[in-house]
Amino acid sequence: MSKFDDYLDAVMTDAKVLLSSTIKEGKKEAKAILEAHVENSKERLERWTRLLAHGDIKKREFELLINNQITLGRMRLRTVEVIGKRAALDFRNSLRALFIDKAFDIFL
Amino acid sequence: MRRITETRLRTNALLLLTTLLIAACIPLAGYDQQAYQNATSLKAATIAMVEKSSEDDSFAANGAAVEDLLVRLSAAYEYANGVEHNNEAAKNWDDLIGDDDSMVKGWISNWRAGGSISPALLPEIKMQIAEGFDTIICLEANKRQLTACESLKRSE
Repeated sequence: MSKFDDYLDAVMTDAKVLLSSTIKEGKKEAKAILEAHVENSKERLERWTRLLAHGDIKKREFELLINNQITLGRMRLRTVEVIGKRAALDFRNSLRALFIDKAFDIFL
Repeated sequence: MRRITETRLRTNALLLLTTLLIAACIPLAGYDQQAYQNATSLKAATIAMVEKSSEDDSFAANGAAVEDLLVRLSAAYEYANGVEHNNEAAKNWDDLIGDDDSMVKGWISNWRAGGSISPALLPEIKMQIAEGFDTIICLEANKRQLTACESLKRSE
């Protein structure tokens, strides 16, 4: 194999490891953010229903809380979108560095 | 054998270049210290105002301060909306303070309508509005470094 073949092979091997770790990291953060919302929502809904039933909050206040909870879910999803983009950009930056580092290792 | 190796290498090279090209097109504004500070300082100011809203007839006493807070919140939204490739952050600000269905304006609308909010609503609405700001803060932090953000973990 030529040196260039060695270069591409070396880059590809490390790039696969890099991609796997970047995706794993972004996925972990995104999952934590969304799962916390689901758990919070379940507990809150139970509590608010009790408050409404006992007359501690008004109907329109209950509706406000429900509306806000839906809004919070939408906001968290956008944060997750940013996590996806950040992970992709991190991968790009690391890949660029990898191309350069491997070139130095193999050609110089 | 040599041909297979060459094909594999060409495919690898193409895959790497495609990945770089796709990643180069991802629109995401960089981390913005000003935006981060806007969110943290306005969170404190808004929560302080929420705490006043369960006192009897508190809206009448705080109407001017509420208007002032809304102006400051709108300025923060306009700032986020004016940054290029900052769509997600601007939409989150809009959900927090945009129209009457937004979290902050929804709370103010209830406060105005009743003169005060029910005491039992106070901790709930305070928690939600704080979480709204935390989500904006978390989004900004993730532009710099991936994080699940401590403040967005389970609240109960």
